[in-house]
Amino acid sequence: MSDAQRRATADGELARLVADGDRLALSELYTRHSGPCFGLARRVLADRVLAEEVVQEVFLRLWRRPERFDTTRGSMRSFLFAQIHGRSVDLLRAETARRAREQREAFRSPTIDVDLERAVAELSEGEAVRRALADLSDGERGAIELAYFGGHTYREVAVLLELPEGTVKSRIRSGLLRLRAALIDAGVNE
Amino acid sequence: MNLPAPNDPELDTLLGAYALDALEPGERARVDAYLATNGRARDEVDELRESAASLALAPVDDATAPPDLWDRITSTIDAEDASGGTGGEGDDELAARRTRRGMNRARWLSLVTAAAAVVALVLATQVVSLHHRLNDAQRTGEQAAAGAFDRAGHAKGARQVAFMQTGGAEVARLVLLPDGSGYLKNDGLVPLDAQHTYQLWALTGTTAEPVAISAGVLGAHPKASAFVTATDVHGFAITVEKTPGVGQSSQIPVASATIT
Repeated sequence: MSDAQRRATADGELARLVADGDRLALSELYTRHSGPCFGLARRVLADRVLAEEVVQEVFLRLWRRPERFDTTRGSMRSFLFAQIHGRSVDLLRAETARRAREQREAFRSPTIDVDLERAVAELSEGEAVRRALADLSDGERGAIELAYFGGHTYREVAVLLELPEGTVKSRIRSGLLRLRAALIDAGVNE
Repeated sequence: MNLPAPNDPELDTLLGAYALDALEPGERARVDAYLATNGRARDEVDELRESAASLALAPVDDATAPPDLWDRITSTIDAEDASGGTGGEGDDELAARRTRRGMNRARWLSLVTAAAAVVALVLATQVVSLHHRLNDAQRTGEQAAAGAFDRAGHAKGARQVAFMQTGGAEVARLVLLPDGSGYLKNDGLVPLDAQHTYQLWALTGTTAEPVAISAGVLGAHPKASAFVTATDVHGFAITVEKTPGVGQSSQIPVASATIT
């Protein structure tokens, strides 16, 4: 398989090649998804070093246990993001990490290397997500952002927003479902 | 045989928070048990997780993994290979599968290298060709290009797109004619210093997997430019480069446009 063919190969097939021990397939998946994965981990943890550790751990886990990705249950991207987010939240909820986060300022680093085509696709999808988020009600958007990027449980979100827990649960669920529909319409999700 | 669990409205309300990892451990365990036997709830969680994954694509200031991180991952894999695996469950089966495949790997790796060289040569030729054609067009001058931009907007089959910055501001407009010729007019790209230049890229391939082909150097302070590119483009991007006319860019686009 040439580089060009590999770049045109679907994530699911690359996952199968990873299971066969194909490091170039893992490298292609890393090229496609490591940037947003790192961005997500860094946004949740507000810590570059911890974010790097989470990305490393998740891609090593994909190499060691490729069978845990099930193509029938969603995309590789959502699988990786779920892994990244879950691990990041686990770390954040450790009391020491939370304290450290509160003491840190937002992290900025210089751009080092970017795949132009990938960056364009991500910009386009990112803008679609931004628009879809903007179309949610303030209540839905606030609850989702606090839970997802803040790493808070819905009970903590309810306290922060001074709302009943049931309201927060409903807003998270309805907001995610509306987001899904909007992104399908925008061609970002299938 | 386990019977499917009936729908539980109380647990259903937790599915959104579950997809966001926003449940406490006890509730999470209850939902895990529910999902194990309720396919409808499991399907909803899969959908909600796709939504959650999309949130990670919302624009952030820095979403680039450090360049040495991949090296650390491969070093760990090398170390595990040398020591015979992680010692974890499933190691033997995975190792056996990978050993079988490894017998065929060396032969096609050499083919990959040769194919990559051919692809690079083809791309380089395309870029040089486009640059020659662009240089011819640029000699007509920016004033002529600006006039041509206005006229092209009324031509049959002309497609007009706006370049948007990440934050959503429109910074340039472009008209593309059916024969691949096009004109760009700058509305908001700020002038660069003498060491940098804007470069225009045409995007072919698919929207999800675009291939960028250089459509020309715009200069440090473009007003209007003419260019010629492929006819099957679905979008454009503009980068800031130190070296004029690079064949591949490592820069994040400052603006992009999608042809709808």
